[in-house]
Amino acid sequence: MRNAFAKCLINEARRDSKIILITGDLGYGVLEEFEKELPNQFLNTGITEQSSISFASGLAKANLRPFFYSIGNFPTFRALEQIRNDVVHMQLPVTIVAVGAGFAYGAAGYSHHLVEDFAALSAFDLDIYTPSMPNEVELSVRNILERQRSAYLRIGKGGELNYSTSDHVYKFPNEFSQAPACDLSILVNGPIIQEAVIAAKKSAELGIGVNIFSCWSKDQLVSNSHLLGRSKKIITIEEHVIRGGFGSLVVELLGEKSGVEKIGIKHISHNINGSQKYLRTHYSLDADAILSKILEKR
Amino acid sequence: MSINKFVFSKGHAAIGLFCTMKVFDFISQEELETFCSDGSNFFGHVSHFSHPLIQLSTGSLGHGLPFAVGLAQAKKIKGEAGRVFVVVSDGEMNEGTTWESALLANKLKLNNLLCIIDRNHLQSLKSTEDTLPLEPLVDKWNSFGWDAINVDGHDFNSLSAIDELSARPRLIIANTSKGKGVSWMQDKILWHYKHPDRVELELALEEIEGDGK
Repeated sequence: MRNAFAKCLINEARRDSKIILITGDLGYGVLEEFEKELPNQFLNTGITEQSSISFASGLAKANLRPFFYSIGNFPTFRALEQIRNDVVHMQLPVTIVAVGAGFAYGAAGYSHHLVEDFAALSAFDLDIYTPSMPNEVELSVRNILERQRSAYLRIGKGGELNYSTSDHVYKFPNEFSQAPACDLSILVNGPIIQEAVIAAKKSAELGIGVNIFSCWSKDQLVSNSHLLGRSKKIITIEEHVIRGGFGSLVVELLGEKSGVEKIGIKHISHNINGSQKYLRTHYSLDADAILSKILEKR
Repeated sequence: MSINKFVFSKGHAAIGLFCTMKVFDFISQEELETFCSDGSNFFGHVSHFSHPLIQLSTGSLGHGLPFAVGLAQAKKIKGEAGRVFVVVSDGEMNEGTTWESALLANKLKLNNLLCIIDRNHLQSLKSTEDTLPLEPLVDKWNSFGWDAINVDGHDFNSLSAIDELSARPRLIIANTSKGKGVSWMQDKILWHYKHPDRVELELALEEIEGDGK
């Protein structure tokens, strides 16, 4: 996803010199091509996330289109007030790009786990993009550039795959109409989709069909949530805390009585460390846990 | 519209900014008199909804300087003329973002940026030096690659330093006294918080106008 972001942004930036890519001293092996080809549109502001967000707002105030790229909690929690006051309140088209959705930096420890950002940023009037697949990163970047809005783009680290309707994965709402009638819908936002795809495949082998809807844009989810009323049963999956997260948003949209089942992190285990795979299993976010929930819910 | 940009980072001094804008006819007396009234755009801290010249809403400290660095860099990127002026408080020297911005403006060689510190030596509870010592402030900024000088912030002639250009980002430490000219207000922390009542206002004006004569 990092590479998809860099590739997509460089394509857009070649055409639009207003696009400025700012990095908070991160992006080794990802951003070099951008820097080399478009040095006047690239800037490393060092490890200064708070100032970098205000700085980016200054650029946006002067009609430039800054993207601030960093890892996990650094461009989000570290700079939350700068996002609130200088980006959102000023209604400026700054895009904050956080790499490492969920436990992508699992072994790096809690400091690097991006698992509360959606809840925190949902409080703000800002567009939130949570692509599940590389091709949704491109979709998100194009959407961001079309809209003159403050935006947050949450992406994985690497190795994510593109899934298609043949994997029972449908972009929401873009491909919603292509999904077959089905009792059970899984809504997912982010790279955790890979666990859902495995679970759905196993479920299909057991004769239980499910549709997976990838909710890459919070705004699109909110404005098209009426479509979800068609689903009899819904499971949400997020690599994020449930409280204030994606599942809670879906419940907010569909109502408490909708019976939405939320899979996510119930409580952070601060004493548990491990790889992304290990942590997904620990928090019952992996394919097996999802399959159990499907069987329970059907 | 001026090619220069102005950011007022010490948002708590909004009333001073609004009065100045009235003197220069950017806003009307009627608008000024809505200050802190329900529905007004002229409130206790600076809001960009007050006037298009106001680049940034402020109130939380340490936001104006990095934003101004962004405005100045945008001018460089776009090849635009003009300068960016930002007024910060000396209390903002406590904020990490001030020093992050000092590093960044030096890296970017923003010779179109001028920062003025209102060096009134007071912050919320005590003097700056009793709170978190700042001196030697001019040396600190020079060592960060800025072109820094001390001036008497109450002397308009010494403030003409604003017009001087440099190859480096410029910093003027404007040494001031809060409540200047009113003996019982000057340098008193109480008056960071208190509004004068009608009688106090008249006494204060008498003293200031008396000095002027």
